[in-house]
Amino acid sequence: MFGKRRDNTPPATAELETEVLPAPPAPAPARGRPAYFGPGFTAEGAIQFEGQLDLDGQFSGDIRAARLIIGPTGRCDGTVICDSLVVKGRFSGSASCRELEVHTGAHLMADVTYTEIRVTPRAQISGRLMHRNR
Amino acid sequence: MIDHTKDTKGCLFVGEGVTVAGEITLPGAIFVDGVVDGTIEARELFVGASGCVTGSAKVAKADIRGVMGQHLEAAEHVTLRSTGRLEGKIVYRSIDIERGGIVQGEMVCEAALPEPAAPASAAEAPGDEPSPDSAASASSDPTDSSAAP
Repeated sequence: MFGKRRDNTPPATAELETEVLPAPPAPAPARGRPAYFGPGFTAEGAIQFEGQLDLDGQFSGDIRAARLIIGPTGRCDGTVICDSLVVKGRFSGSASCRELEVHTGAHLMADVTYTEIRVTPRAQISGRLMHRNR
Repeated sequence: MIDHTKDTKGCLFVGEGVTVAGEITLPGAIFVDGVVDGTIEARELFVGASGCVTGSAKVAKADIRGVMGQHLEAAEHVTLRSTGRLEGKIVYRSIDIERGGIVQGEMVCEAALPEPAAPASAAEAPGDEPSPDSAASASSDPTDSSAAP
């Protein structure tokens, strides 16, 4: 009964499906060393990288990577498409990822499409979260 | 899940297979293992793995293992377990989502962090105040302009 009920529960969030980013790339083993943008680094534009990107500085623009880790001092504003997104600092904009981790102290103001999410206490999330089945 | 040996005063238990519809207001905790369709106002909300809440809930704390739909407002903390699913609008102060939990909807965090730049701008503010000299020159300007014509 309950299983059926769940299936039939009308999603109150149907209109959320309007603006959906493309699905993130299939998980691939991150190749080579991670790219590191330290504190003090400021840039805007577009980044495409097949490996892991550690951002402790500021970036605004588009990022496509296998894994993006926004460190505690990191700030990212823009569109992110990656397999794994880890937020410890601040992120605003929109993102599409398979795995989303939001850590304590993080500040996420974004619309995120994800498959798996994990949030630790005292993380701040504002925005629309959309679950995508994989 | 439910420990009946505890003080259950002011609490409501909706067992598996039970459907409740309407407006529910209680001072204690509500445990939902069945289905609740309507509005809930309580101190704590516990939705079991077989539980389903449709409608809106206004609570201090929420612990979700089942399905919570449409509108959740938690003044304190929300815990979404690995089997849980949150749909619709979620207004909260702090949240904890276990791996496997699903959120489908809009999240609004009420605890706004003070901007890191705020103290710096406050420190700059006194420097920007007009000095007595500039105030004096400003007051002398009207006399000049009135003298000009």
